Amino acid sequence: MTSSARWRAIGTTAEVFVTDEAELAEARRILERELEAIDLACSRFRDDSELARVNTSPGHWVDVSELFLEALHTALAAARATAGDVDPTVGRALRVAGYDRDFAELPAVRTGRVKFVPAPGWRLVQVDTRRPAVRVPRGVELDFGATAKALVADRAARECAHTLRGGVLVNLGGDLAVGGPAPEGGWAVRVTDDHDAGFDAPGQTISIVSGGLATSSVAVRRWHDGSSDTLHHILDPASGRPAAEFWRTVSVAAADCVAANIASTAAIVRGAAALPWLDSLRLPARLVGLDGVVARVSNWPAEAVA
Amino acid sequence: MDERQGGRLSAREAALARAGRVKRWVAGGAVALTGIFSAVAAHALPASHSSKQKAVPTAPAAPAIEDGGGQQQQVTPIAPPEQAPQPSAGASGGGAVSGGS
Repeated sequence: MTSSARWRAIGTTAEVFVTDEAELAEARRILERELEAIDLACSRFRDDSELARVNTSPGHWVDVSELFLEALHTALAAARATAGDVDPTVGRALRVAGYDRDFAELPAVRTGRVKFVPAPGWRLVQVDTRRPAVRVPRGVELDFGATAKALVADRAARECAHTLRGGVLVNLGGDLAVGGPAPEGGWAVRVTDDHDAGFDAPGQTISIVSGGLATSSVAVRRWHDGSSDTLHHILDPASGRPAAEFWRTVSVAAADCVAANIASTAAIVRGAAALPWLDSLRLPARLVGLDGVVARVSNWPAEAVA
Repeated sequence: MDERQGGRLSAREAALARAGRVKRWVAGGAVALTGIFSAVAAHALPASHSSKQKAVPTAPAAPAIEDGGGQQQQVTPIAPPEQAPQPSAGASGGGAVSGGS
C-alpha cells in the first residue's frame, strides 16, 4: 500500500508516492523545494528567472546558478544525443509559433500572427563553467521545457531515496522517477495520452521498479492558429514547425527520467525512424500510432489480455 | 687678418660650440627618454614567456568556456533501465499516470 499527494505546480501536475506513509509530508516538501528552485532558474514565463535574463541579454555573459548550469548541461546533452531533435534553442520558435505564455493562459484560438522559424542550434550556446555564466547570440532563445521537468523528477527522487525511509515515485506531468525500494510488485503506472487522465483512461498498466519513465504526446497542449491548422507543442527544431504527426503518444522507460524524456520527445520528432533508434539504444518503449495501433520495442510488455 | 675677419671667426666658433652643446643634449635626452619608455613599457606589458622561467609540469586545464557542442558530458545521457517494465494488473487504489503534458 502506498500513499500519495498531488497538487498543481509549474503549469502541470506534481505528484509524489511513498511506500512509508510517515514520509509523505517530507517527500512533498523535497519536491516542492525542487520545483520552486527550477521555476526560478528555468521558467520561460517568469521575467525574474535566470532563463529570462539569458534570453533578454543576447551577446552578454550572464551569471547563472549551479542549478541553471545543470539544467543547461542536461539540455545540451539531450541535443547532442539526439543530433538536435531535442534542442534547447527552440525558445524563439515556440514563442513565435504562439506558445508565448503559460499554456493555461493561452487562448484556444490564437489571433496574433503565428510564424515558424528553425531553432538556431545548440552549438551557438556558450558556457563558462567556472564563473558560471552563459552567453547566447542575438536571435537565440533557450527553452528547457523538454528536459527541466524530468531533471526535477530525478533530483527529487534521488534526494528522497537518500534522506527518507522506504521508496518514492515522483510524477511531474507524466514524467516519472523512482527512488529507493519499490513496493511489492513494483510501482503501477498507467501509460496513456494525457497525464491528467484518470488511472482508467485508455492505455496500458505496467509496473516499474527503478529508473524513469516518460510519455510524450501530440494529443495534448494543442492550440489553433486562426486558420485551419491546430498546432501542438513538440516542435521539430529543424523547421520550427510542430513535428509531423506520425505517433500520437510515445512512452519510454530508461535509467532515469531525463533519459526517458529525451527519448520519448525525440521519438515524436523522428516519426517512423524512432523504432530502430529506440531499439538500438535498448530502450523499452510503447508507441501509439495516429490510428491507435501500438508498437513495442526492447521488451516493453505486451498488453494484458482481459 | 684684420679685426672684422677675426670677429667673424670667433662668432662662427661660438655658433659651432652652441650647436655641439645642443647636439649633446639631444643625444643625451634621447637616450634618457628611451630608457624611461622602456621601463614604462616593461611595467605595462609584462612578458608572458621568459627563457629563464622553469617549466612546471601541470595537468592540462579544462577549458572554462565551451560552446554547446563542447566536450563536457559527451557520454550519451540515454541509458536503458536496469529492468524493463513488467505487465501489471494495476494497484489497489490506483497508481501513477504517465501521459503527455
